[in-house]
Amino acid sequence: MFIVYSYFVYLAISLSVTVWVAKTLHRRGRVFLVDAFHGQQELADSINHLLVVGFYLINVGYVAFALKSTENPANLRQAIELVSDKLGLVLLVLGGMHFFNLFVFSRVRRRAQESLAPPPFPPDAVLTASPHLQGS
Amino acid sequence: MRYLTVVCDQQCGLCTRLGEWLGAQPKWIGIRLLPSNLAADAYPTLAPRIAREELVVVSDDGGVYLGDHAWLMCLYALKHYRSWAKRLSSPTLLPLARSAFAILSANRLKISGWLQLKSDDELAVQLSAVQPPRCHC
Repeated sequence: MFIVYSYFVYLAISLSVTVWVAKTLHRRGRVFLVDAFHGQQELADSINHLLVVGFYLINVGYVAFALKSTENPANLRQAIELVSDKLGLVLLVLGGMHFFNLFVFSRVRRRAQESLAPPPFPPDAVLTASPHLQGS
Repeated sequence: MRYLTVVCDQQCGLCTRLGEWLGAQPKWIGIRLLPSNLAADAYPTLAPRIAREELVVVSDDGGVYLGDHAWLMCLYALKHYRSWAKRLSSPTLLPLARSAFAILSANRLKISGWLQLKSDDELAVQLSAVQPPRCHC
C-alpha cells in the first residue's frame, strides 16, 4: 500500500508547487510584459496567459509522465525516499521552466526597449523649410 | 522617426549591395532607397552634400546623416543590427563604420563571434584589417 500513498503524496506536492510557480509567474511576469508591449495591457495579459497555459501543460504533463515507479516501497522510509526522488526531479524541471520563462520575458522586454531607442547620435544637419542646412 | 531615405550612388559596388541587403532585412523603421541622381530634385538643399558624399541618409523628421553616421543609421533601422549601431557609434569605432557595414552585410556568421570581443579596441583592430571596396564618388 505504501506505493499508492507515495503516488498520492507525490501528486499532491508536485501539483501544488506547479500551481504556486505558475501563479507567481503570472502575477509577477505581467509587469515585464506590460512594459515590453509599451503599456498595451490587453496584449500583455494575453501573452501572459498563453505562457502560463504552456507552463501548466509541460509541467503537469511531466508530473503525470514521471509518476510510474518500478520500485515497491516496503516501509515508510523507502516510501519517503521514493517520493523525495521523484519530487526532486519535478522541482528541477519546474526550476528550469521558470528560468526559461524569465529568459523569454527579459528577451521580449529588451527587444521592445531596443525598438524605442533613439539614434545613438544627433543628425549632422537638419532639413528645414529654409533653403539652407542647419547644423554642421 | 518612421522611415529613412537612403541616398546612394548606384554606380558604387558597396552601395548597390547595401540596397539589396537592406531590402532583405527585418526593420524597425522603413527604408526608402533613392538613387543619388534623383536625390537632388527631392532635396535641393542637400545637392552639394549628395555630390560629395558616398552615402546620405535623411530621416522623415528632417535629420540628415552623413559619412560614418549614414552607415550607422542604416544599421539603426534594422531589427537585428540596432545594437551594432550603438556599439559602433563610440569614438574608437565610428571611423570604422563603413568597414563594419561592409562586413556585417557580407558575413553574419563571422561577425557574430566578434560580438564576444570585450573592448572597442579589440573590435577596432579586427575592423581595421578589412578593406571594403572603395567608391569613386
